[in-house]
Amino acid sequence: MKIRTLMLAATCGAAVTAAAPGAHAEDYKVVILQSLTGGAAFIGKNVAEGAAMAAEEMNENGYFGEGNRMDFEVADDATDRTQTLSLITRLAADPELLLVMGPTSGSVAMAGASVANERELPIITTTNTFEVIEAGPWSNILTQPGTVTIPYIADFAAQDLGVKNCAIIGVKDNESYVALQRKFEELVQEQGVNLASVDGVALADSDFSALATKIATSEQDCVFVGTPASQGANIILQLKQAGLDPSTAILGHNAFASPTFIEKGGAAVEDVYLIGAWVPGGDGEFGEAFAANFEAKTGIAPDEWHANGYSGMQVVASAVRDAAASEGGATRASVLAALTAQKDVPVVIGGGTYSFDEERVPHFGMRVMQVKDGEFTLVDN
Amino acid sequence: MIQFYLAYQPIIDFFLLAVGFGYSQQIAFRAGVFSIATAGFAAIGSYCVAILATRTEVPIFMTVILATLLAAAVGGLLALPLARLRGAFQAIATLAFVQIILSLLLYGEGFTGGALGIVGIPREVNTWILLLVVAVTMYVLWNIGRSGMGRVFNALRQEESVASSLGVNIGKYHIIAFILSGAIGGLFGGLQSLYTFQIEPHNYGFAFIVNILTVVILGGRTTLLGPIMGALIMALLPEIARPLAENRQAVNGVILILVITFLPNGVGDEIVFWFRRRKQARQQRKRASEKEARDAVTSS
Amino acid sequence: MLTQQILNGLVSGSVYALFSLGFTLIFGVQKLLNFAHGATFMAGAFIAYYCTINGLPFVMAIGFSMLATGLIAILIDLIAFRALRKRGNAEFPALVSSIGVDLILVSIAQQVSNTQVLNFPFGTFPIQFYDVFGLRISLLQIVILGVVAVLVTALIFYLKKTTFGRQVRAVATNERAAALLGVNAQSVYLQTFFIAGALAGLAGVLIGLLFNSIQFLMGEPYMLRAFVVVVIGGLGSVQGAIIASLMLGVAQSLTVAYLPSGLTDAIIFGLLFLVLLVRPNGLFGDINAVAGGTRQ
Repeated sequence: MKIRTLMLAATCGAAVTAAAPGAHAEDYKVVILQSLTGGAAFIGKNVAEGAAMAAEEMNENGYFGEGNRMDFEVADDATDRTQTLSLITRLAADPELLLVMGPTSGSVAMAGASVANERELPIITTTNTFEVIEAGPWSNILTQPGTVTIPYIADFAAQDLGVKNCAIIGVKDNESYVALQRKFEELVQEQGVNLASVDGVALADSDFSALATKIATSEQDCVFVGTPASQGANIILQLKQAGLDPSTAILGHNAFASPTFIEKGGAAVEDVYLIGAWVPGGDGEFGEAFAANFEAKTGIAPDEWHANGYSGMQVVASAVRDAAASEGGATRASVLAALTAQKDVPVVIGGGTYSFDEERVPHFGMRVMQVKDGEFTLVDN
Repeated sequence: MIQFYLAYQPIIDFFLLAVGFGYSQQIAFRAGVFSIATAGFAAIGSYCVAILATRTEVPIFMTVILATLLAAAVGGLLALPLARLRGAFQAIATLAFVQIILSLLLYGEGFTGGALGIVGIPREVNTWILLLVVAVTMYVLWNIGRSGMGRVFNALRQEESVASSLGVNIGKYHIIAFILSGAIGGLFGGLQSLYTFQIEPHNYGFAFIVNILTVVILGGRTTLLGPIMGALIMALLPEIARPLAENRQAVNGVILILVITFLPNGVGDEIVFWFRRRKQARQQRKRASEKEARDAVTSS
Repeated sequence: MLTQQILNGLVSGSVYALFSLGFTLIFGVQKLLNFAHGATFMAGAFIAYYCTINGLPFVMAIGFSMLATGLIAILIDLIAFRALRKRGNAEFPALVSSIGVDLILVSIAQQVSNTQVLNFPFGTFPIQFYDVFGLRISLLQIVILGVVAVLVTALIFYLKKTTFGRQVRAVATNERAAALLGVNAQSVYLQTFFIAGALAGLAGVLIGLLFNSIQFLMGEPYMLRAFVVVVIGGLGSVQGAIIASLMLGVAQSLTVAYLPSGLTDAIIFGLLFLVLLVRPNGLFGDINAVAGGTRQ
């Protein structure tokens, strides 16, 4: 009897000592809510993969300190406003949850922003529309708005290439592409470039024969194609097939910075200029390591969105760690405050560091690239 | 209960909006018009409210009234040329109407915001308002169904030539059906604007048309219970199928096929019909037993 | 440029014709709108794509894909339409059940392709251009025009001159009377579905090849166009559907070429609306086709 008590006491003691470091161990709960299905899945699925990989890596490396980890979960907004509204509402009811990384795009992100501000839950949506920031203090954006990115390519076109007369092809039924295209038009016009023509295609279109013939038979020294990568490659292919003058400079924005672009366009997209946050294969040590690890893990080379997701998680994790170190620990409010105060977080995109400005607009820079021999190569400027 | 409401409130609200759009769609079907113009009416209503609410001082309540009237007027005008068409031709003409509205919304960037749509619409609508408006709509439709107009609609749906030979002015009733469909569509479109903060043309595209058609056909094309059951199924499907993750959409498809194959009149209509049949059977039994009793009396 | 644009339009239009023929055939025979037709078209492109990248010669990939989409269409009939048809009054329920099939097929394609836009590998079909009287025309465009012309002629011959064609028309006019005369309506349905599916599959392959793009949602815009074509052509009219397809193709490329491109849809559908006002039964439809049309 005595012995048993003694043993019990001993085991208890052991248990207590064993648990002692664990008493401080904390789980920081974050949900990666992206469009895994539906129209924006080509963005959301990749962002989620990149973000999840970053979180796993940081947990393994003990980024959050001894015993602490990020408890993350991946969920699907299905590119659907209704489902997003109900999901975020339900997520917000979980007191443990610190932040939602998502939802992915456009109106879905706006729907998410409305609930997040109502229920005071920090979210960082993948989209780059200002409306998400304007919707309230709790909703943030992960990617740089057109006002930050487009100057890189517009200035390059007007100053470095010195084009004079530009044909514009945009997407008419997606607001973020429209915004980028308008910004490009505005910036080049300010620098004295004439707009030869402005056309819009629908995201679901694939027949550009009429448009291609129209542009190929008109006069211009530059064509700006502001569409998603595979569609843009296809438009350029059809432009070339319609007999576009080979000396015409073809430009695109960061949507083209994806392996898909070269895969779909083949020889037709040779020499096309574009901007990208992600240089395929990685630029710098951190980026190259990410590209190698990602490919080893998934079997495919990471694209712009994988890299954005990976980088976004670096920023989120840094914010969570800062918040945890602050007085009062990690709460929704402290995570939000830490997030928007992030400066120079090392990332794998753009110039290599990620910062928010006073207006909560993200800045990480853009690189001008050109397709050469079927590869994206940096253009020195 | 209140926890449940908080967690599922958006689903409830979207369910109520879908019921409203369902009634706009259903009133056309009830009158024998194969119209799919509801998406167009909803777009007109929601843009009307969104533009008035964000750019003018018109009271919110008035914007909804104006949206309803505008969509009703468009419905009435649309009915005039459509009166010459029948069946699938009506369906395609109304599809053309929706596509025209959508592309004008995309094109008229200065006025409609183009693909970006209109943002920053005040959120003035909550579950209780939606519930109230749905109830009022149901009350109005209930009364129409019991009136002479409801009987004419039924006659038109079942056999137009007979109705016409009985001296019914078909054109007039089709116009009324379109005005009602427009008014209800515009009304709920306006409410949707005031609920979702932001609208864009894409909201009223092909997916919207397919969704509302499914709500009404799956739920039932003639009874008031129809759109409610249809919207309920469509609202619950994504929730039930959520654990299935990427197979969700395929499972939705399977469920749609099964339900409509075994209940081709739609879930709501089948329920109502079942009750009606039971009532009739009971009355017949009652009549038969009364007759038996009478026969027994007379024969004795 | 005008003639070049008309040529572009004719090529697009001839592929619309392939797509719409199956749709109008099913409508003509069954009076049902098959919403899953767009998904069948998409499946055609997908099947040929996966056959090609797995090393099957392209011509065999096309053949296999047409066979497979024909069978898919038969499955659609068996799963989504047959039970409803037996009960009669299937017009609306069939709409929902075919939407159900559409969801299933699209969802499978989305998972198989991982939501990526696919394209046939370069070199699947030789890219070669000819200059004919100042027109720039590719070998592929010539082949497409030829294939469509041959298939359409064969189909018309089949429907007008053979016993099967007469059976199809008999069932389309009055199923019960046809059955009394010894026509097996079920087999007629299966055959029309097979033909419709195979044509849609071929259209999918050609479109995927011509415009270098295959993706799970590619059927949707073609469904919208098929509605337009089938109605303008007169419901159930094969010749009407062909002429309407070509007109739509040309109208579309001319509006893109000469009018603000943002207005293309508004103009096309505005024209459709006008056509219906002037000719309530479509350009080539006769009253009888409609009397037996959607309302029984």
